[in-house]
Amino acid sequence: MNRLLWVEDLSGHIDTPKGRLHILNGVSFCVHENECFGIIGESGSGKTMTALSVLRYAERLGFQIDAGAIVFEGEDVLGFNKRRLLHYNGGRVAVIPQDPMTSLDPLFTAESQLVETLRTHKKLTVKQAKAQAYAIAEKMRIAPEKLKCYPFQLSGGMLQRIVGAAAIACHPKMIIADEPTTALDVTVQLQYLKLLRDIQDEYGAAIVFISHDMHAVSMICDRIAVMYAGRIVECASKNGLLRNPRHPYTRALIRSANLSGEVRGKYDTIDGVPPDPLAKPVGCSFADRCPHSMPRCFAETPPKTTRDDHEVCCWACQKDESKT
Amino acid sequence: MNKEIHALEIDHVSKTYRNRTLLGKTSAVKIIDDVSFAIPQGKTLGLVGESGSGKSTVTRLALRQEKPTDGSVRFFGTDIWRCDKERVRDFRRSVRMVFQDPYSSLDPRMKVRAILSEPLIVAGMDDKDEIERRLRRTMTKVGLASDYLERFPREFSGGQRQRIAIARSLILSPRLLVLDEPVSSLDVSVRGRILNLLKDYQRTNNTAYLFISHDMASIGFLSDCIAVMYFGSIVEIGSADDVLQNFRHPYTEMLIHSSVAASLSDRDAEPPAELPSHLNPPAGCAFYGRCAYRKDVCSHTPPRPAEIGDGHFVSCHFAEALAAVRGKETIRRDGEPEYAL
Repeated sequence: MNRLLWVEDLSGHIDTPKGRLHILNGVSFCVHENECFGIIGESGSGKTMTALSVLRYAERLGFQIDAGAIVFEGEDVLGFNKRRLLHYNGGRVAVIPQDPMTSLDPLFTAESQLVETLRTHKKLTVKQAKAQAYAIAEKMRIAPEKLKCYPFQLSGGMLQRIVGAAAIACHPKMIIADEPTTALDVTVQLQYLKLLRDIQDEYGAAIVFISHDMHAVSMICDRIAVMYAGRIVECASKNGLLRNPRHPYTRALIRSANLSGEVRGKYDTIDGVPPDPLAKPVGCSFADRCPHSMPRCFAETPPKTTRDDHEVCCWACQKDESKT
Repeated sequence: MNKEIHALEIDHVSKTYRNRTLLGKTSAVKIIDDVSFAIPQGKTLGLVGESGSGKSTVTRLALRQEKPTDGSVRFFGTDIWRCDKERVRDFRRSVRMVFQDPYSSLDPRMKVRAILSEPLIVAGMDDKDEIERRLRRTMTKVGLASDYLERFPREFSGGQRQRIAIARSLILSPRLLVLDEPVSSLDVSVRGRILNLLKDYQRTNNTAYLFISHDMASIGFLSDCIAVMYFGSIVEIGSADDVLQNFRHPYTEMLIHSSVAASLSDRDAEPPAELPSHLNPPAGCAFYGRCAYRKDVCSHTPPRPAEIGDGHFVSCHFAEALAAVRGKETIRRDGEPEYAL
């Protein structure tokens, strides 16, 4: 499979009055063409900042990249100038934001917002753009009369479909969906995930699906990366990760996500709290919450080891392997 | 059999809102239609349903923020709308609420100490030492260090904030706690800790919970009874085991299937998930448009709740047939089924 997006050792920080926040500490992953890649992690783990860096939005929020590279279709994204960036954002890479209520302009109808997106990226007359807008709406299963509505007249699920329609409007190579289902009801969530999957099959776009919801990720993704304190600690195929998790954090996360839905006694939890981003990370950031931590974990950052396309950053896992 | 005293009893409650247009025409919108349930002391009733199903209106009715159009709401046997002022004050002290979003439910300009002591002061407590003792005891109960009392909400993470919100609700030792999606805005790793905390507190203090959520896993963990709401009515109610494992309403089935992890490709396309409009309510079953098992009869005749097991009620024409389709168990039936699926 061809590599579409390749992020290597991305590190960055935000300077605040309280001090420097170390948001990303060496994020590496790649997304292949036509796959659905999931990034899962707790709030504050850096999922959204990774996505925003790939889109080059993060800089506007005061995020500074210290090191690393982002390569999209063989081109260096960090080196893009303004004009290239305009074509890149929305044209080649599109985003579905978390909250559909606030990402649409309340003063314009859904139709005019779709038309605006189309005309920004393609040379189209208003009439042509309208025709395309209706065609895309049909793909996203939006009834034509809904396009004449203003955002406040529509339900959350419908708004999220309209935002999705705007994202696929220009046939992007990759769609970044940042927690697209968090604001939706469970029943609507499922339909939306299915719709995303269908669209992916039809358009051949890759999806980067960011979520803290293990259920949603396991439903839609082909490969899953687990993020913790600004690093990707484990990355594997869906079945590899869910059936055979190796990093202690992933194991704890899967246990507390309770995928089978059956708990009667006590809920599994992860003790402790994630590290403070103000402190510069030394060693493995999960070490003080980890039941398998060794002295080495507190001193040295574990490198990535790969076995059967299953990447993991953990000293304890390495030790286990050398034994066998 | 002695009659059990329920902490909260919602008895055939309906709520209709009237809407008057500029020309003086009135239209009535029935948001809650004949809802009944009861929560015994020390037990939890889980209320499930999607947005727009009327869960929030039910909580407002239970908290005496809305007056029911029909039916009665009773708290330990007393009708909260037909009693004297002293009883109402007592009711307000004994019923507390925990909100969904701990970021907006705590005043950012109040220290934790002020947030927690406010309910005590409003309840008429003026002994400084007693207040201090209560504050410390409650902080310990929710698993927070007492030096956090001097901090502001912004210094805490989401899980800690929710603990503060829970501490504020517990400080008056309520007899009924209304929990409106207390964990849905929290991370999974924190979610479990809050649920464990609530369960432990209930076990030691015998508090009744009305727990609202759309997450079947947390509902199943905390609840003794589960009521499933759809379009202003309860479509299925029963013990947690009955509803989760032996559900008979297609909507319950849909909710449970949506929350259990499975591959998407295993599923068939479902009908569109839009709720019917309250301004133009459907003549038959409200779930007709989305139901996978629908028949002609559903479009014109609304189903009545029928008891299919001990305290397990379902409003569906095909409740028994659904069980047959699922093949879980055979149920006793007098005569042949009226409809075949």
